Amino acid sequence: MTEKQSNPPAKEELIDSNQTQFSVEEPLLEKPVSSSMEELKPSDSKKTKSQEEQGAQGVKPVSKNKKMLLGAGIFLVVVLLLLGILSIFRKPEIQLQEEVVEIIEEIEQKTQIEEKLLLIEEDLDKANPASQNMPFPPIDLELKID
Amino acid sequence: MKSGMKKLLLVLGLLFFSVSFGLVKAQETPEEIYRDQLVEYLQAERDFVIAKGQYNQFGTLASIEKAALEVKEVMTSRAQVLETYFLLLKIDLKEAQGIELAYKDKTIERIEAAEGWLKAHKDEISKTSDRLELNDISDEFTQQSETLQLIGEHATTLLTVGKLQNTFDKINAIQAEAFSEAESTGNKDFSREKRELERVLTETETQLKIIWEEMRAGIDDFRSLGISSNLIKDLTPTYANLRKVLGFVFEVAGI
Repeated sequence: MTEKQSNPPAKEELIDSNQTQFSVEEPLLEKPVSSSMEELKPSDSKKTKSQEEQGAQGVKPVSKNKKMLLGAGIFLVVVLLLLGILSIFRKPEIQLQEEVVEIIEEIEQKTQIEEKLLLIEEDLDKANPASQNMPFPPIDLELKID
Repeated sequence: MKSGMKKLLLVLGLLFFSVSFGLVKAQETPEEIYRDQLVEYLQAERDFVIAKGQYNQFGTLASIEKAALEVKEVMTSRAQVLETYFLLLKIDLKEAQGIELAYKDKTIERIEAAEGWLKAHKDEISKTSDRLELNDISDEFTQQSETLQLIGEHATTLLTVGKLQNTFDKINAIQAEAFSEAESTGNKDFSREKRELERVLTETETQLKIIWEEMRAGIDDFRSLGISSNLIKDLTPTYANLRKVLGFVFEVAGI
């Protein structure tokens, strides 16, 4: 064994002085690609994710407000359009009021009759001969000490 | 000082609850009082049966005295229950509709006579603790019990018939209103429905008239109560007709 072979190489000798080879370049077959992905630390992936989230959060409030405003605006326009259409086809107010009063009176009358009928039904339930609630008390008619 | 305050608070709290409880108790309805008295009677009856059994088994002076006390207790309780029962019937009769005043007054008169008899009966019981005297008083009750039962039965029958009559009167009144309303709102001809309803109303009216005829016989001499004791059987057809008629009126009213 020669001296050269027994002693490990010096530090300077380990450094690659080849200027054409890039530092990140690695022989393809020596390490699989997935392992290189795994080498990324969890803290790093989190960091990128959180950065994305922050970015997204930073963008979210602005677009949400815009959408709300847009929605409200569309709603107002629709309502105004409907009001406009209704006003064109609206009946004269007096006629409308009369009709409304008639309908209310009809409903009230119907409700009155319905109320009366329901009360009568209650009375009829109480008049059921099968369910009379005042029978003679269950007493002993012959209490004696013989 | 602190313990004194605590005691004072405790006393005030107890006082408050006892007054509240007393007020609640005082506001019991007659029906609740009747139910409570019935429960007390049933307990007294159980105690009497036990005492009587012991008397029959041992025949000692102590068992005789115990039995006498228990029978006195249960007889008093029985009279009290009946007094409250008749009071409830009287209240219901006074408020009832659909009953002719003459019938009502006659029945209330009989109930008040029963109440008077029961009060006198209770007074007699309270005056003695002798076994033989209590037996005699009990015999008097047994003789009177049939009359008391008839009075009760007549009153309840009258109340039931009154309710049926009252319901008939109301249905008769509202059916015209329902037809008038239905005819004014639509173009439908209700003559067929009117005929059908009239037919059932007339049949019900006839049934009620027959019932009242029988009741009249009972009013004059309640011992010959016209309607049989099987009240359900006698009044069910009338009740069924009223149900049918009311159903028709609901239909006409569109409900």
